[in-house]
Amino acid sequence: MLEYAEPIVKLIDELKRLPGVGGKSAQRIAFHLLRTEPAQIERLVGAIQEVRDKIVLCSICNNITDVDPCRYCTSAARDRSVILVVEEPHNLVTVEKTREYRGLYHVLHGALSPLRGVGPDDIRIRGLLERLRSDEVKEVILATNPNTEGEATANYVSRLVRPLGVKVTRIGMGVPVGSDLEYADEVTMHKSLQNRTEM
Amino acid sequence: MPLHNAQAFVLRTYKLAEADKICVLMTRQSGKLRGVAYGARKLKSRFGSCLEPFTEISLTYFEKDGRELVSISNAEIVRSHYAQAADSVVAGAAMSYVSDLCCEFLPDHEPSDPVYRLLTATLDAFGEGRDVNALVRYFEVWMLKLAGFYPDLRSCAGCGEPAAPGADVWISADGAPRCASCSSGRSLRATPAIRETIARILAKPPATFAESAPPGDQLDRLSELALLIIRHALERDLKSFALFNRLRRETETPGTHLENFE
Repeated sequence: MLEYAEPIVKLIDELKRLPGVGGKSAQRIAFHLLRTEPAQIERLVGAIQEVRDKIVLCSICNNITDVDPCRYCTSAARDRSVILVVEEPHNLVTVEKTREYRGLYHVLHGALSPLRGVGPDDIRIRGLLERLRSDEVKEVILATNPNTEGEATANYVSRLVRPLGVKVTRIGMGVPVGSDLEYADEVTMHKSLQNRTEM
Repeated sequence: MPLHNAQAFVLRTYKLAEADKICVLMTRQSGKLRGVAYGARKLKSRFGSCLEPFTEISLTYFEKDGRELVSISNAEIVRSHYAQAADSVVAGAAMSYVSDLCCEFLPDHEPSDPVYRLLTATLDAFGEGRDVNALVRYFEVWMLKLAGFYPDLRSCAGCGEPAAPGADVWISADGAPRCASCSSGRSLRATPAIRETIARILAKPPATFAESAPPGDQLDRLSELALLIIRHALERDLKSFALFNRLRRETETPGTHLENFE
């Protein structure tokens, strides 16, 4: 990388640290930025700074927000008797896109993973249990990812929540819409049969 | 770019880029290798649940000279252990620890049929609902033995004298067994009962051993011995070891998991 001027090398090195950005992509972005209008660069730098300065975790649900508590936790229109538990803040956006769910959220910021050394103390379970101590919450929906770690986390959380007298449910799992049954593997098919509904 | 077919266990996976996965695989034919499965994290991925940890798969992959990562082209489930790992937190943690031991103690690209058969038999025994703790201790002893780290407790490493049948053997921090006179007295004690348990592990299949598992305190001593050897071999602890033991104790003592959050 010595063939470039030092500031460009520095920029490429910084861009390479971003997830999913390799050496070639970093170089392409760096040269794109070199050709970009100064005003646009200012807007980009400003946006990054604003995220760093204003974004915090909601003190109730751990969602990322610029106002604490977040708009979901303070909204009077939301159903306060249901909490949907997700692994990451972007999972919450996926649920919101459905416009079906009107309850509250809780973000764990991870999933149990013995292989990565992520234990129960490393994800935000404690806050969820504190929220359940009030009689307001009647149901907890576990919407962790449909993989080994997500299932183990859902199991662990359900073991903690059930003794508190709150109904615990898990999102349905099975074949994705628009796919062909021919391509479903046995684990997915097994889950589909387990979670079948009466028509 | 040669195409290979192999039977393999998925040991662990990492997220890569937007929707890809890096998988650590233990193949029967080529030993441990790492591969990329493009698009494996997409909802409609052709891999489906094939690349979930602890799944035995029939694998097709491309290998390029000089590249560490192979490219996973196709995978089909031979046997899935997803349900056991997902339905019980303790079994999931146990399988993670077993998988961690394979990742740490198996060299890359060196096939080991005994380890493959050991992993198959152990995971099958998990599926049959056998004592999880006994199975983990069984796997530890065999894995460390096959990797060449488990001490031979039949003779003293100091004086070379064979261990007397009713006498204790002392395991020093470097994993070497010593008789009472050669040991410094600060080592880990392997009683005749522990040596008998180890002999049973080495003589029986995992399901049979777990069926008539020794008492918990003996399994705990075996676990301490394994910890000592792992520390000596890797110069660090395995995170999955501590997490498995914690989750196991929480399950054995109902109510403790809630107390931990109070």
